[in-house]
Amino acid sequence: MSPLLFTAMLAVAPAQADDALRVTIVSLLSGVEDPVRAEELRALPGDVGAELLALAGSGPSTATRERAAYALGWFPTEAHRSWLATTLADRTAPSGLRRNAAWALANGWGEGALDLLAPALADEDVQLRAQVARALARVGTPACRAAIEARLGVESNAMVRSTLNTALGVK
Amino acid sequence: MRALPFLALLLAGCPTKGDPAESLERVDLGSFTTDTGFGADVPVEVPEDAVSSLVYCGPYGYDTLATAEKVTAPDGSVVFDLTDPEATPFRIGVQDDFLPMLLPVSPDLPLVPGAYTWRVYVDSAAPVTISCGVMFRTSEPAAAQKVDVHLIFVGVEAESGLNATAADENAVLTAALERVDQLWSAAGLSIGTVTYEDFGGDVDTYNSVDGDREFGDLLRTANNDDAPVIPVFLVSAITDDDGATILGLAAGPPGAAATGGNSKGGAVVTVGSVVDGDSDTFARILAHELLHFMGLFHPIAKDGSETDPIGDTPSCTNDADGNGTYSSEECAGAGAENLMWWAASSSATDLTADQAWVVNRSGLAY
Repeated sequence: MSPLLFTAMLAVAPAQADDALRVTIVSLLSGVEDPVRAEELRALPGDVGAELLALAGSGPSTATRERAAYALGWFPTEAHRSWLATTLADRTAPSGLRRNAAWALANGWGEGALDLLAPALADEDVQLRAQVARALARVGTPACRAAIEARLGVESNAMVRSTLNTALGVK
Repeated sequence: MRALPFLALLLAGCPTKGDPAESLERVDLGSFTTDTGFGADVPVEVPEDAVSSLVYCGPYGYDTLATAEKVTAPDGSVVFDLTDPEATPFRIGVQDDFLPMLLPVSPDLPLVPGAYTWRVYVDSAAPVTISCGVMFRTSEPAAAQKVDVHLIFVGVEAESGLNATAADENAVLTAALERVDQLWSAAGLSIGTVTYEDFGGDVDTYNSVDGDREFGDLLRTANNDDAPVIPVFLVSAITDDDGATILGLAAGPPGAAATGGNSKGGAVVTVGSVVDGDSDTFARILAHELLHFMGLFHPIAKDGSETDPIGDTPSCTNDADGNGTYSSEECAGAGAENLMWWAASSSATDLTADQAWVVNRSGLAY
């Protein structure tokens, strides 16, 4: 099942509907230069994670969907991990959504998401490869560094090679 | 037809009547080395006919930050002191690599002729030598003015259909530019000549602008020969150092207007809303960033830590839920309707008379 369809199904479940909460979250996700911060979302009452999951799949704009996907990493449930993993692996999903899913997995599960992130280092999307390298560098464990080093050995794109090298110098 | 080949701007040569460059006067201020207090005093003689001055210093590298420490007016009064930065109606950012400093940024502190001293603080224990210059606008604003924009497409054709050839026929972009005119009409401003270019550099690197260094390096490629036009790079994504998405970003505020070839010489906007077919959102983001570049700040920062120097913009004080964020809902009727509000909500469309006063004195408006 595509992640978008899966989330659309969740979004229509009555128990998930919380219009006021969704309006607040969409507002927080709409900063021009200011991305939403974890503590802003965590301070909200209600099932913020469920709303973010719905917005990540069927939010009103590309930016909302991407930012909601990123924020799922701050609410690390198994359902969110599953959605993020499916999105990251879905080559038909928008590149920006996949990139934000990668960051969410890194932020939410750290090295525990390495099995999901490492394959994306070989994805055909060079922008995704670069963001996965940055995200793994942020996790910064020896295993994540090893994954970056391994990719550096075969990476042919100059920009991604540069990002991999920078990533190895981050931590 | 709105668009002209960008080359035409470059080949225009000497200023002609009606040329925005005609009212700009540039002075090379020379080089200055910071003292033991990490600062350097930069004297600026403001001519009688100047209505705005943009002092700029740099480059000093991405690893070094600088800002204005103190600004002294011709009568000896201190019109800005970093130790109490909101005590006077002046604002300045803390910038890496290149520091633009605009006066005025509020009608409550107009530019006057005479000798100013700008003390520039450079955060480096070792002495740093900076090169500085100033650009004066020497003509009073007309009742209606235009701002020229140069759009540079950075590998966004596949997702948005935008490139230099097709841009003029793109319905979303065309509608967005018309919407910017509507949004700016309260300030007597409109978009003037729009020129287009396909980015000729490293598209893989700059299609997604990741972090301050890439942002500055991309702006540095906009060598527009000091023409009074705002370069705007349209990209797929902008991310901060944590990988989080940013919708648009202007150098500054204020930006280094009409001083091409430096890291603070333009703006970057993502094309996500074009992909969505949402010309209104794209227009609000574009209009917001262009006005940042011309010297406007957010009425209040998202976390309430800073306010603009403008007297007639609402100052929201309502953080009802106490979460440290001044949300659009909490500040409805108290700033959230302003085009310079921190969030790109559909109701953020207003400009005040004082904001109009500032941007109409920009060297970019003619």
